[in-house]
Amino acid sequence: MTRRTVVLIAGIATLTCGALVVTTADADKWLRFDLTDRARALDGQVPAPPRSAHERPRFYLSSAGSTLIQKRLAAPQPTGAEAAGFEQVPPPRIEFRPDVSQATTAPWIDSNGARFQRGLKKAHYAKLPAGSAPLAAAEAYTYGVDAILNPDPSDLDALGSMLQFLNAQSRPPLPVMANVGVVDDGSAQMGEILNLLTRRNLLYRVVAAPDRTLNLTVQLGTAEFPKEAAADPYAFAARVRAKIGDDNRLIRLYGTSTVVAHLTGDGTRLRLYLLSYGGRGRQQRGQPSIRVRVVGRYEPVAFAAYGTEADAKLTDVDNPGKTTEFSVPSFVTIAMVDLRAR
Amino acid sequence: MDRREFLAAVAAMPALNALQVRPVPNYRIVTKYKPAPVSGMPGRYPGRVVTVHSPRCIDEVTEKVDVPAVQEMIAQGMTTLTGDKDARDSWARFFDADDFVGIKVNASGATGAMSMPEVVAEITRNLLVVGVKPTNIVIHERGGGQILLPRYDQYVPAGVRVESANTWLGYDPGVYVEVDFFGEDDTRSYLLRMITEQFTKIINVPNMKDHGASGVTGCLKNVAYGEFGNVARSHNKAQTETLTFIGTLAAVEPLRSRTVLNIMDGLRGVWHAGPFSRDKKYRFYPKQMKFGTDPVAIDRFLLDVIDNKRKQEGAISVWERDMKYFSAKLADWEANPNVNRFIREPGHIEYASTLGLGVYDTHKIKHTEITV
Repeated sequence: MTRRTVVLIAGIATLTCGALVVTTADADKWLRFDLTDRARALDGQVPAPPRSAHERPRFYLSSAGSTLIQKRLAAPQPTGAEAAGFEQVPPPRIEFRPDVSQATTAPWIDSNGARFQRGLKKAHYAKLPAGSAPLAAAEAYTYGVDAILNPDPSDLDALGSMLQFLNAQSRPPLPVMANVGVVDDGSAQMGEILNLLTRRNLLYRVVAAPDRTLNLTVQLGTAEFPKEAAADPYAFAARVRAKIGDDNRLIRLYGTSTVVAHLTGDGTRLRLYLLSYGGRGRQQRGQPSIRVRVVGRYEPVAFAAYGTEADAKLTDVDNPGKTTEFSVPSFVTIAMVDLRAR
Repeated sequence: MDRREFLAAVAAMPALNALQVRPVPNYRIVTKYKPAPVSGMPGRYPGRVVTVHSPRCIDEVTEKVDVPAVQEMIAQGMTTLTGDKDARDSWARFFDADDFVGIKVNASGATGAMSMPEVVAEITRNLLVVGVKPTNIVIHERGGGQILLPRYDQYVPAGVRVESANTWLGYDPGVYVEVDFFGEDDTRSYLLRMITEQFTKIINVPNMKDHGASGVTGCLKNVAYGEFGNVARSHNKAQTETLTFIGTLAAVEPLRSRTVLNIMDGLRGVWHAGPFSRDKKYRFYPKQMKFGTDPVAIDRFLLDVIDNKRKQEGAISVWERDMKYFSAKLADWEANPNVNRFIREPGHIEYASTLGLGVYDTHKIKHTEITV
């Protein structure tokens, strides 16, 4: 397949299910998947092609999603021993708690990101309230997790569109990028800390021992992070933030308090996932434009987002100092940005 | 008095059980714009305020505005400010056919106390008289919801637009104030892009309102919190950083240079639970308008208008900092004018004077009052 063909088919995919803007001359370096099969999958002609678990998560649906299974957008929910490998997770959602969270007026995000970062690779979204199924699919996709979805019947159309979109995207197998290495003791207390780090976009990965390539190691019981400090996860996250320093944070988001970032990359190229946990209005009408700051000098090479205008693209790309900044247009639930080192 | 001296003086004020004055936050201002040779604030007439009263400008029962009275108030206010005989000459000192003018209204609390459509219409009419094209006039607010409620579009000629950051151009990623007040993660407040890329001039049209955080909301707050995004983060429990944030935002270029005229609409006002209250029991009718280029000087007199009305109603002063009057419950504050939702910071006006935005000392302000 030539580069020109890849871009052409990408354009077809764009018209079908969202925006995929290819801005690089060597698109084939980035779109390492067979777009012909993907385009056919969109039409329901063939099942979505098989993928390795690392590169592309699998979606399964309960009987509530039988119409989408018939359209081959997902597989039937596994049974028996295979089903036993899936761990039940709560639905992703947002809670507005002005009585409790007045400090920043930022709502509470219930994300499974920390569970996935801890190593959960098979998630069972057993109870998905109306409006949450597309976000659950996007959340699992972002972290490369296989997921069983049990959607509310009212979500089937939206979930079908989301699965179409996700199935059409590339997912480069890049390692998780982080500022912080967390030595996970497996405790519930540590789980809540990881949850806060996720919600506050303090990028981390779980490590077995301190990793000197990272800015900071979080290990409970050390002088820097005594166990008693974990009693207040909010203050603990603030402590981690202060020790990293905002200027050093790999990702900063401006214009939102409800988007969670997940960054993968190898130093020469990055894939940034943006998950919007905004309330129902934002899940339907879109997360307003946000500004992104990435440490390092990069240029955007591809942008894909669900629910954007067909001609949507990143704007106001700039490289102040040793950073990269750009604006992401309004999107619904999930956006992905590929960047290449300058 | 510079900023350091100002804060030292504030800290020395008697206030039992009051919150301590915090140091000036570490603001980082990013802009590529340079000040204009004659900065819009304090502008051509620093330390000058003209107040025009009109007992007939609004009916307190029906709240119907007397348009001829408003027209006369604006004509008298402008000519008195500039010293011209003809109002057209006064307007021509500020605007010409080459200008693209943003009219910054205040629609917080609409359709309660807000920039009245009749006032905005008369300002628009005067701009047209001096040659500004209708398509180069934009009535605007930061937020996209409340600005639609007054139906400004029904009071102005075709071509004049009503816009917000939600509907037109959004925010300029190259002009912002970065600061971490209370540990919030979104630490930037961006300026509206329509200001940086479109407007050559701005007319600021605030109201006379009490404000639960800043004490009052007048000229300074209308352009600061009304032209930048992500500003509510400056309030945290009892504390608010409005003391320094308002002036800091108002001083950012090009907002400072392009805000060339302030016309405070005081036909009706809010003396408690502002700025959003639509409760008629907190509404009052100052029946006046203030004119000037110096936002600090105008706001200095606004402080007296609001605080005097509160005294008249038996309510605590906007300067009251005693924590015994504080409640975290919104309903308490809305129901009782002797409750503070935040420890208010009416000192933001004097602080802005330390940034060179205007004159605060009433002895140094030339104030002319007229009744029409």
